[in-house]
Amino acid sequence: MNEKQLISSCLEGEAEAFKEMVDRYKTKAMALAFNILGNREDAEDACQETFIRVYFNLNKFDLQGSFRNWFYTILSNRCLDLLRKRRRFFSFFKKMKEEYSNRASVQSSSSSESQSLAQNILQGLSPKERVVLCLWASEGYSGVEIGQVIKCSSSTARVLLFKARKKIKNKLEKENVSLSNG
Amino acid sequence: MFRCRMVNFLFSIIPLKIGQDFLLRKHIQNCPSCQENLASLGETKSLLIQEAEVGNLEGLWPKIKVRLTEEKRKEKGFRLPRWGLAVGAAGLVAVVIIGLWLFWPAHIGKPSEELGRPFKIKYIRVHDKPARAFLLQPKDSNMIIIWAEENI
Repeated sequence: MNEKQLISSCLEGEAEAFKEMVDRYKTKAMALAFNILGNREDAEDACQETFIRVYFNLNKFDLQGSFRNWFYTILSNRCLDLLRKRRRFFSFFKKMKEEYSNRASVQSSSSSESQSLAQNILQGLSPKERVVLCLWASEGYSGVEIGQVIKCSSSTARVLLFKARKKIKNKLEKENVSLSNG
Repeated sequence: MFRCRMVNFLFSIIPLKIGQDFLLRKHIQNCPSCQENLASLGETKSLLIQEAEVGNLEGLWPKIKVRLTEEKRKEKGFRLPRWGLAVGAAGLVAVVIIGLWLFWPAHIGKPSEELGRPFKIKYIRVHDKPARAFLLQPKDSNMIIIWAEENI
């Protein structure tokens, strides 16, 4: 079943077709959400919410457009919403959070140092930069396609991607220096 | 190299994304030296969780199914139409107004009883001398007008 047939079947209310859609996109969605949000629980919540929204808004999707882009728009918006809520919630407990993350990074350094290093580097980017970077690296999206997903101009998308790549390079170089010194 | 530094300096001072994008397209994208300062695709991918690393997602569909059933039930259930809310609010306001009108305590907004009692003046002085006083109370009214006049 191709994508358009699948969407048509979902629109007719076939639960099996929607299950297939979930199966097709769940891994990609989970990887993207995980990379944007930085933890599995939030990523799962974002994926669930995204699929629910897809189900109830599928009638608004333009069949001439790219379903993948539409899906990623919903997913990235959901992830950015979650991050906004999380930021608001933790603003009062900033100091506590810093202590927690320090402790967490110490704990994880003993278990998987490279994973925590990667997460630290990614957390140094703004949420939008993370979205742009993931779409570029994981999905091979161009500036135009990224712009379509995050609803901005292709110029903005390219500039965001450039800044994200530059920040990562700087951090990687710093980490190399500190590792070699240590 | 000088050109690269110049472009990077311009990139940092230009506030507009369009201007920054122009520099990106005209120089940075095609310059090997500038590209060295950016994380490559491989480096970036190594930082990201890949699809193969996501792990078991078998539990996702049952959770989605439960949520869908709940949401559908909510949709089928009683839902007040948009205009219903407006009508409801207007009705509530009407009930409150009628209630206030019916049960508003009668004494509020009326002159107190003390004002309604017979009014007495022992004497009145104008410029520190006894003066003539005229009292006027309109019929069926609690209002009393006092007119004082010097004794000439």
